Amino acid sequence: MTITAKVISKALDDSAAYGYRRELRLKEVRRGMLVAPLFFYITLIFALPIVLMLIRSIEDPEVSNVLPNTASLIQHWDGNGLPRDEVFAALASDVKEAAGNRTLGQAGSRLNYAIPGFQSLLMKTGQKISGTPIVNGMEGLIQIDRRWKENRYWLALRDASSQYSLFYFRTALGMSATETTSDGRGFYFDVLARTLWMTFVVTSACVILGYPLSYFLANSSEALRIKLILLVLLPFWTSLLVRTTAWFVLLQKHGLINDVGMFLGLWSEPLELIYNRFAVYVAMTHVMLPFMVLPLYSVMLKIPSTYLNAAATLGAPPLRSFWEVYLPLSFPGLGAGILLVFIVTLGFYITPALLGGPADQMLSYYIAQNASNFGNWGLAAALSVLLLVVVGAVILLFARLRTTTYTQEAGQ
Amino acid sequence: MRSISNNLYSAAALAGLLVASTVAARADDLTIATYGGTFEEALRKEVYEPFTKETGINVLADAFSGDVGKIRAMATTGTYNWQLAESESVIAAIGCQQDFLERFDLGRLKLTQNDFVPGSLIECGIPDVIYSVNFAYDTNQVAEPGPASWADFWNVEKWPGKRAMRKSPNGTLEFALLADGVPMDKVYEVLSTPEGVDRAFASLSKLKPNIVWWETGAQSVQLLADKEVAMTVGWNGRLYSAAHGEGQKQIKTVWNQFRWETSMWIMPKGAPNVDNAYKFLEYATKPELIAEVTKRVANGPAVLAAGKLIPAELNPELPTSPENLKNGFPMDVQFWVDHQEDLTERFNNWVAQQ
Repeated sequence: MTITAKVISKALDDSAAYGYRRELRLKEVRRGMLVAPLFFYITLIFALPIVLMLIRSIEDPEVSNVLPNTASLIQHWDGNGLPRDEVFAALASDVKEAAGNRTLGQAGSRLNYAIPGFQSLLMKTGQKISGTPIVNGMEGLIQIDRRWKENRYWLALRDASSQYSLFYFRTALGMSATETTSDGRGFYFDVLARTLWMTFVVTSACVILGYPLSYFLANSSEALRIKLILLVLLPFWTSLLVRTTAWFVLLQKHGLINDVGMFLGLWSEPLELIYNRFAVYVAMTHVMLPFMVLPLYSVMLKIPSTYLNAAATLGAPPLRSFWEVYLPLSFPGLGAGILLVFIVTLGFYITPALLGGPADQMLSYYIAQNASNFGNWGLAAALSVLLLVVVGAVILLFARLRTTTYTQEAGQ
Repeated sequence: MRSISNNLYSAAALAGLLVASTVAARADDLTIATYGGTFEEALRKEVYEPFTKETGINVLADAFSGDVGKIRAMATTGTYNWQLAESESVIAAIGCQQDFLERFDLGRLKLTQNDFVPGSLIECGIPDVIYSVNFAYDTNQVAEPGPASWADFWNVEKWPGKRAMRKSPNGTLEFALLADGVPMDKVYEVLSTPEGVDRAFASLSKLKPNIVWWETGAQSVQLLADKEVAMTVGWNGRLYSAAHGEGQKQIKTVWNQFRWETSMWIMPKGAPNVDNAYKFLEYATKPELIAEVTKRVANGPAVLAAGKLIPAELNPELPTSPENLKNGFPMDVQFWVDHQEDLTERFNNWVAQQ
């Protein structure tokens, strides 16, 4: 074969390889196209709102947009006593302009988060200033309202003067710099602790009730199993709201349980079964149980009964063979169940809202309250981020636990 | 993974629902949101239906929840669930200050400030009725002579039984101060000081073990009808219709130390079909129509000319009748614009402490 022929054949090979690679790439793209709708859907409906929420929690633009001169000047103030006269003058002219544009209320509502009453102070100042030609700085403002002599209002202004801040996180964690309401401090921190505790209790209850049930399901005859699984799935397919309302009907003061109990003479006064933690636990456990049972059951189904027989033949008493053979084999299902129940329960809203008392509300309730009732989206976003962080931490913790269990098993 | 597919199904269902709800309304329809209940029923019978007959403009009803955040979201995103809502004055005032509500042009309604109860009109709210927060008791559970003041409402030794109150500081704190001996005309003065707020909470704490909290107006009368409580705080219209319901004659409303406020029409800023909304408002503020609504729900008319059209026998049930008005006090709207959030937070915190 001549050299030319070799070159030509190599070139042919190359082009064939190129064509083949091209084909492969195209295939890849075509395959990618299959998931593209889902990808865009998830990005648009799920990822983007979360990113926006993250941004919203640190955005603090109202004061610097509405009162720009004051915001830039007051940042140089050291925070002692009162700011210089030119800051007063800047505020007077900013307020006058904002009152004309009708934007003053936006700054007012943000400042009102820091000091309740700041809103009306600003609106009042705006009204008074609009009528007068020029307000001469400090004296003029103090004449309109004596509160302008108080250091804390100016501190709140300075605190709100940058585009981005951790103000809402500080409020969420009860570390607000300017606000001194004695009772409100750390309120959301308590709520977070309560949310975690309630989630823990519900998850534990689901494990305690769900594990034996799953075992029973996995080890019963085929015909019975199908019927029983249907009993687990039926409530699972029923709307959360319907199930919560059903508990409402059962537990209320003159509900089914109280009426039947009193009719049978078991108790004479109606029991307090609703609007308390008990009702919330009962209903949430009921709602979450399938999330525990289904993964557990599917894992247990695959555990061969021969393993337990083997353990028994080797002389292990039932408890030991359960503890050392069955339980570790069911760990994947248990882990998945716990993770599912824990994460879903953390975000519970409707069940505590309907069945719980004021002390039984979880973090979601307050997120909703701030977002819808008050329109305080910054705080709602900060609280949501807190919840997100907790969920992330739980997932990480689980991932770590699982890898350590696996490495241990591998080591053995 | 059943849970994920389940979530996706519900998300898809939700998306479908959203699409459906946006296309359901025809372009020239008018959607009006209210708190519902008997008041909406009265509006539908006395105002919506004749209005549609006369103008051909279809009125759709929506639920109003008094959520400031939702109205602001409508105005900022330009997606409107409704054009008009029948709202509390605090929301109208907040919306005006934060500029997410439309400022009304009274001239287009052929009305002037003097047509309304003095002080009730604001730039962003066209008043329709005046209602009140009272308390009522069940004469089957409470011995007559029954309680006649907030101090009596607090007195569980003389009149035992649970009390239902709204799970909100709004109103509750004022009543706590009244129970503690603050006169009606000094309530907001006291409540504006930190010591006054402490005093209100201290007073509430005394009654706390006997309080059942409600969140919707329907719950307030339901609790009383179900005998869950012996007394309840409630809106006068709800109490009136409950007392006139089947077999509920035992509910008695107390017309002393009640708090009255104006309820008004509001429109989110930039709402579509402004012309239709104005047509509706012009129609709905007609004295004879307001009088008819008043007769059904026992709220006082905010349009002065309607007052003359109301039969005298209804007077004992109205917050605006001369014999009742002198025993009540108006809500301080600006106080609650300033303090709705901080006092709600403190209130929630207080409520949560066992």
